[in-house]
Amino acid sequence: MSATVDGIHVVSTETIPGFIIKDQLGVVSGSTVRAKNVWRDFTQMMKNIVGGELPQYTELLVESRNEAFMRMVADAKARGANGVVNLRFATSAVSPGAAELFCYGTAVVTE
Amino acid sequence: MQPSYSATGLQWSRNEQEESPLETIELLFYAVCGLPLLLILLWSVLWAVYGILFSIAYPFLFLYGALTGSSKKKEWQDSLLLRERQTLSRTGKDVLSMDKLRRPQNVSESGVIWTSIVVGPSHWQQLVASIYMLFGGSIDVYHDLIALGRSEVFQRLREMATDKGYDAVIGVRLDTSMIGTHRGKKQGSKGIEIFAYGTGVKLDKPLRG
Repeated sequence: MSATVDGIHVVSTETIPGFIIKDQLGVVSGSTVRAKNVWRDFTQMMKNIVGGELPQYTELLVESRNEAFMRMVADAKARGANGVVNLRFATSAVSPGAAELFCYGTAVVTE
Repeated sequence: MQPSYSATGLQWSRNEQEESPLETIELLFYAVCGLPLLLILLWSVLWAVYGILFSIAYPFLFLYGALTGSSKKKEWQDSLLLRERQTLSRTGKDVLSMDKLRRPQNVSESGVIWTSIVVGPSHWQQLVASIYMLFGGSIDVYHDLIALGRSEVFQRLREMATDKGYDAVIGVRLDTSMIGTHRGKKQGSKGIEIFAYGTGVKLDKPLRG
């Protein structure tokens, strides 16, 4: 019926349309800290001189977000939820060359 | 161990006896430190080659970026406009919205989607910006880049939604962050990541009109 990730229905809105939320199981979160290898850093540095998009970094961040997201989903699953509402993402640069990707949301049980 | 050049075997054995304590120390030294030393040597050679290549390539890349920057920006703008029109003509209405859905009973399917872009100002643009920063005011080179990046990321979200068969995207949020490999140094990349996410919904009745 609906698009689920690993049996968990994740939305960024306050409610899941078409479902009634029965119970709220608290905030679930997932995060990763990732860095690209030296060679990719080098190529992106060269690309940076010319300007424009840095595709390798885009790829890296999407990959890392997927990982953080899957960790959050696993957290929600461990709590016995079948949905996550109010999903939010946050990014912070922990150190030069590495970024922390963080995502969090409210785990809920729906009917 | 060096072979002795003397003719007699007697001298050979005497030489060996004299040199043997020194050689065992040397052998031990190379056995323990040989591999790390070799690695350090290789590493420094690698960095030297990298430095030479970089200093040769840098002026050309810099000039290339300075000369093609504006035309590339225009190209990007035009292609973005074209793509935006294409999706608009297909959906009839902008699919993105920050709101909740007004009639949730319409929704048959929903799921979260996200997309991002990392853009970096070229070194020429950084130079221009640093000159502008002396006088203050609006720095258009950065503004153009980030504004274009935002439009691009929204367009990617639209395309992603239509590709996945969603009729609308609700609760769209935008997140911007800086990522760089060597902050504070001249060398290294400076990147601005623009990230958008939202909940794609499939509607029984599409949002036309």
